[in-house]
Amino acid sequence: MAYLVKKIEQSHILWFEASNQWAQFDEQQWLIFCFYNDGVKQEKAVKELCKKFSFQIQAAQSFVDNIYFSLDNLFYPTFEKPDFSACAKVAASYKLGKTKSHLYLFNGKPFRIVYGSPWLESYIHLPLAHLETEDNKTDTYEIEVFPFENRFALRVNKGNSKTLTADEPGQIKRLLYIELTNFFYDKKESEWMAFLHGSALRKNNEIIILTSTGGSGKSTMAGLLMLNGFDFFSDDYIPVEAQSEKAYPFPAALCLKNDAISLLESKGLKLQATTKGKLAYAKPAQNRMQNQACKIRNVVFIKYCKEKDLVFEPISTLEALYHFLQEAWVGDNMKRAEQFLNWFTQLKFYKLVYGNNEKAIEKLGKLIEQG
Amino acid sequence: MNKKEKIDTNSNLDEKYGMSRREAIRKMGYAAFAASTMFLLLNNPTKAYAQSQNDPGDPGDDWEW
Repeated sequence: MAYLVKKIEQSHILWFEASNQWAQFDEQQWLIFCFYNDGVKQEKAVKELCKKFSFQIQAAQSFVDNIYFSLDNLFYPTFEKPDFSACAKVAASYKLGKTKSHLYLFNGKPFRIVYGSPWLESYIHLPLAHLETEDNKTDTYEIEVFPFENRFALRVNKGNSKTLTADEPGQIKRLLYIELTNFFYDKKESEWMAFLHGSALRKNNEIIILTSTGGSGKSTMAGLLMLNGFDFFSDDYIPVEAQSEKAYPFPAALCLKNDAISLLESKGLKLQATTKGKLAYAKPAQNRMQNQACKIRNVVFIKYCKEKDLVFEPISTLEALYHFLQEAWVGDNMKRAEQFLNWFTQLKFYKLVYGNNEKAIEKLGKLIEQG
Repeated sequence: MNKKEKIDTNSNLDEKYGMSRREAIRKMGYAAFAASTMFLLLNNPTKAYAQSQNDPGDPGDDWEW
């Protein structure tokens, strides 16, 4: 069973291939890992731990037992990784009822999406609506998305190329975005190093990544930056290619919610609201939407907090890794994991907690000017 | 950077820990494992693709054709 290790600051970062698990070990935990890996019996590991770190015997026993047990679970996992091929054969031949389709164009490439329900159409079409074209090409790349046995399914070229299934609509949308990214840029999924959850903006041929959990204000800040000289690059989904280590733009429109809609509209951002008014989309200006990939240098973990004026400070690679991996999907093979770690340790990371929009915009502007 | 192959692959883990402990993890899933471990887990490998919840709401049951 394979694993990868790299020391970052005072900790060892490990990746376990069997479970696709990233973990952080302190000095004592790392010692136990080495014992485990060398096949040292638990009794001996307990004695060594007591000797080296002045542990009480009972505490050492419990500590070693827990880590050995956890490592067994990571090298021989009982939990299942996501499986997007479950029932794919049945979904591939599933006959769709009522459907609706739209034809789109991006990067000079036409593609059609066929929707199997009104909700899926609303969910997926709205951020892509600005790419819609009226050219009536019949023989084009086509993806169908539809509800399937209380789940969701996606078929590429009527299932002749690929069929995937997912439990949640968000997952099927993400799988669709990956398929479209491959199509736009003539890539295979294995060529991507990571897919990030965040917003990306471009200025002076540099991009800045804003990442955080949902509802932290990254899309709002992205909208504000678009009004202040930044160009839209990607929202919610940022693919990073392995070979070039560059991020590629994805053309889904910036999605805004709740108070951000009125705030940004009042400042002049042109928005297309949904019929229920819960969401609004800011389509990227076509003349400023460049399709070139771009190196990432700076990643900002962002959080809107009304009570705070502004906190902007660098954070360590180790702290950043913890937050970053909560919001990113990294290729789950040894080569990609190793490449990811090497790439990641070259980036610069910042924490931005803001309540004052103007000050936050100014800080991010200066950051991108510094390169 | 260091890569290694783990050589000892013949552990019979169910026998080693008895059914209760490993079976409990198996039944309760990843969350139970994550809660029990002493070192810091940096990702959740059972969860794919973090994203914002951009649910447009119910558009109604029927399309207008």
